Amino acid sequence: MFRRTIAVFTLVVFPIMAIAHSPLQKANPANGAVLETPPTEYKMLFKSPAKLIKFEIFQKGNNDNKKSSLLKNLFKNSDRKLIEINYKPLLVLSESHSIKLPNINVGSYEVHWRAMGEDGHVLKGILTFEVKGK
Amino acid sequence: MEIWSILEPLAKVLLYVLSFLAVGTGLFILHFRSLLSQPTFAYCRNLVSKSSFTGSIVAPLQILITAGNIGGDLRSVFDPLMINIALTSKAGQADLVLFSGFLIVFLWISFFQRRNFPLGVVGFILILLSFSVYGHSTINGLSSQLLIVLHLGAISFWVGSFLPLRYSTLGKVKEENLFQIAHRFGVYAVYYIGVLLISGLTLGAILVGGIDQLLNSDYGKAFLLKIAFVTTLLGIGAINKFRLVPQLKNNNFPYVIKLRRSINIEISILFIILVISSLLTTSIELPLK
Repeated sequence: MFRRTIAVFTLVVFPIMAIAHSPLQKANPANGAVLETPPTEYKMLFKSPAKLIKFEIFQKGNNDNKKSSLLKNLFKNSDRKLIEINYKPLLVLSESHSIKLPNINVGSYEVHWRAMGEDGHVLKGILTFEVKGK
Repeated sequence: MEIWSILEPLAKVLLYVLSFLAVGTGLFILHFRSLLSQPTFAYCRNLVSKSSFTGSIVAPLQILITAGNIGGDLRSVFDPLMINIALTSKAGQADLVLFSGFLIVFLWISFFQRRNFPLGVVGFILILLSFSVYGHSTINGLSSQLLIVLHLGAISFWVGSFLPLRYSTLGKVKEENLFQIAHRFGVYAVYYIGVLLISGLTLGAILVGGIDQLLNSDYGKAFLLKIAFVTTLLGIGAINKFRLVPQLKNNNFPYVIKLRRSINIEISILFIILVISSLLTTSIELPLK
């Protein structure tokens, strides 16, 4: 009986555990922002000090890699292109982090970030913004 | 959903269970050694040995899982930079303390002698201390860290006693002292549960903050759910202590079977409580005060 209880409870609860609240207080450009001019840097303000370990920016709907295959599509989103920013992990605990951005064009962008909080918990999220031009 | 969102809490629940078995069944041995039959003692020793050995493998693995979660891909599990970040974080330091605790308990139980119990106790303390190094328990400094160690120590005794008690009820074991063991467990449990409730409720009050946060925040609601399951468990424990255990005095076999069934239900409820506790410490934010 208790094996069944354990199995059912595990199946129900672990997906719920993936739902976490945003540890970000503010981002600039803000999530979902539509801009006239491309930003030169990205600022993130955390609710409590964190190390910003990973910062990736993707341009949506712009993948130069035309040779797409079912296998490739399964393992990565082929509808976006990673923009090279040569990011080095920011290992200083701080509530605010700024990342210099290269020249970017008009288009929709996705920012994927991962950080580690002061208490050791891993924080992560995806933010979007769009550059529309004047 | 990412694989890390499943692996990390899963490893945490597994380490909870292994810690409670290593510490709790170890405490059970220290409390009941003179009453245990040879098969039950061998079972307890095996349980402590296996849980501490497995724990000393899973604790370092958890550091690699954290490294993978920080980087967000499989490559990060083997990336020296990510491993270093994981190791130097408070979570990584807690894992190292946990690993050393498991290792000491494993050495203690492998060369078990009554007089070397201080070694086992050092291992138990290290395992329990590892849960106070980071996370919500550090929020109020030393007082909340001491409360979490006391709380987990008391839970360990409770959890770690269930499997040996259940084993003692099996017909093949013929535990001669089942009544004395179950009766004495009931006496010790009063003290351990007292510590568990006082430390748990005080810690809960510190973390939740007030009635309003208790009723309206996700953390408060999950905490109330945990209390509901703990109360159910206490109710079953009370029925065992006052109704089932006295019947064991005359070797009343149907009551031995009832006790075993009751322990099975208690183990199921305990697992649910452990998962809720894991949720409270990993995935639900504390309410704003």
